[in-house]
Amino acid sequence: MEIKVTDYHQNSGIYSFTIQDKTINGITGINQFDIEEIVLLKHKYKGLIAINNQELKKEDINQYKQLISVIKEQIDKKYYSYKVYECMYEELKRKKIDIKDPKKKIIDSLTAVDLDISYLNRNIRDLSSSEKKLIQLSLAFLSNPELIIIEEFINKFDLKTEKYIMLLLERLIENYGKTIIVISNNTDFLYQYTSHIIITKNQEVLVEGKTPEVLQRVDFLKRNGIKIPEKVELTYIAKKEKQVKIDYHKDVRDMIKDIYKHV
Amino acid sequence: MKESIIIQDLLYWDLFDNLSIEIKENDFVTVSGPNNCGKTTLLRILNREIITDNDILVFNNDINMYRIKDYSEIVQCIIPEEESFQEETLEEELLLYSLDKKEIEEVLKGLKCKKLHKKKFASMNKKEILLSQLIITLVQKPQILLIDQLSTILEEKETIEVLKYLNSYREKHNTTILYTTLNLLESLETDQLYIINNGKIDLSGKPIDVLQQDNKINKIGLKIPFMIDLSVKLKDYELIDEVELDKHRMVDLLWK
Repeated sequence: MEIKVTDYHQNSGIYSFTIQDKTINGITGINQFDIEEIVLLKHKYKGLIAINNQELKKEDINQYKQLISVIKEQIDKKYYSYKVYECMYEELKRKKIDIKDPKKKIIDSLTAVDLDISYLNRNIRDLSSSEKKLIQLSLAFLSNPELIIIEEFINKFDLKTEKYIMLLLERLIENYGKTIIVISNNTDFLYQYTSHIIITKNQEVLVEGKTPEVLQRVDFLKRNGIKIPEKVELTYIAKKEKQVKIDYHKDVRDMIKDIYKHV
Repeated sequence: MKESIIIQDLLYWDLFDNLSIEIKENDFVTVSGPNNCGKTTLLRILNREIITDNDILVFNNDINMYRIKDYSEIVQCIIPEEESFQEETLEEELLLYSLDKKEIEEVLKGLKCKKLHKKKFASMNKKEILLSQLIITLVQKPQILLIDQLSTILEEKETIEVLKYLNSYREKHNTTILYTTLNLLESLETDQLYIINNGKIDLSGKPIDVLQQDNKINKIGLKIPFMIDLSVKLKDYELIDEVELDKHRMVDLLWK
């Protein structure tokens, strides 16, 4: 789902940006949540929004909203007293998802995030923070959304789980054509996993584009107070201070090989 | 120096399998490990939210032998998002625990939170709530402080700043601090690092030494901080001799 926003007035700022179709889109910067609010049409519609090159009309807004699932930073505390199954069933009801076999849908969503069915009887309150996050992901899958928005979540996972989740999201894109938005302050994570990035500042989009190209604009980002990914920063220092002709890499092993060639 | 916490052969469901750990008085230690290894559960056990009949000693006494009130004066635990305040503002809440204005001022200044003092909890964001939890706990001067991953709420830079302050706080107040986190970079601000894996302490020692065991840490499934990961690999290629955490110095070392 491509979402093209033009001149959208939000919190005294004017935003224009594009959420790219079938891609992991990263959003970072001050006012990063403004972008989420615009995509979710949280406020009165004041701009031009095109979905897959078709202008979004007022009569289509409800249908558009149905296509989006949001994974908040924390699971709703009202679910703390629920068992996982009750929580998922409640979510089906809340989203008015009418399906023949809800139990099968719930189990499929749970196993999609690599949790076994024994979790259905666990209390949400008793789950670890990473398990709660995985349950949130499976809740998002229940409605079979076109667009999944994930608020800052990466600091809850170890490397193994992080890689698993990101692989899962990549498969959702490849196999089912989903679009993902990840909102995060962690530019190292965004550099590693996203293809398109939007950086906000002072109630506007500071820059957007292909993630590597944007995050390698070190001087520009530093001037604007954006944290440089560590791998980019080290390469940048070598290039600038020692005029070394090494390339930017995402994988530390590729970086080592390049350094080895140039020392 | 005597031990403030001794855990011997801790067994708890399928989480801990004879886990043992000894923490000396005034030590600042990090406990890490992969998701669901029991980091938060360990804190809950030490905070007596989970009662077990294992051998756990705090200042050489079985934790179950302490009276609840006495224990809560010695041990305090901060788990993000599990706050409960009785009053409306931080200022009012602090009066419940400390009348020492100088001490309160010092903690507020140390955590750069002076603006929070008169703010209502209802209007605070989650970062401010967590910092308030921390301030309220610190003014009570517990002898043992248990803290669960601050970086689930704070950004990495903010977390490191808080850990640096906690380091000076524990020197001043002779506090023992046990901090749990997934982010191994944070452990560099502490004295010792313990990594739990499969119910036991798998790795332990000075953080900078433990973090160089890259194969083991990768196998456990944790992320090694970038500059340490890079240093260890460059050492393998004999391009540098020691771990270097500063990027400018690393570049100078490589291209003299």
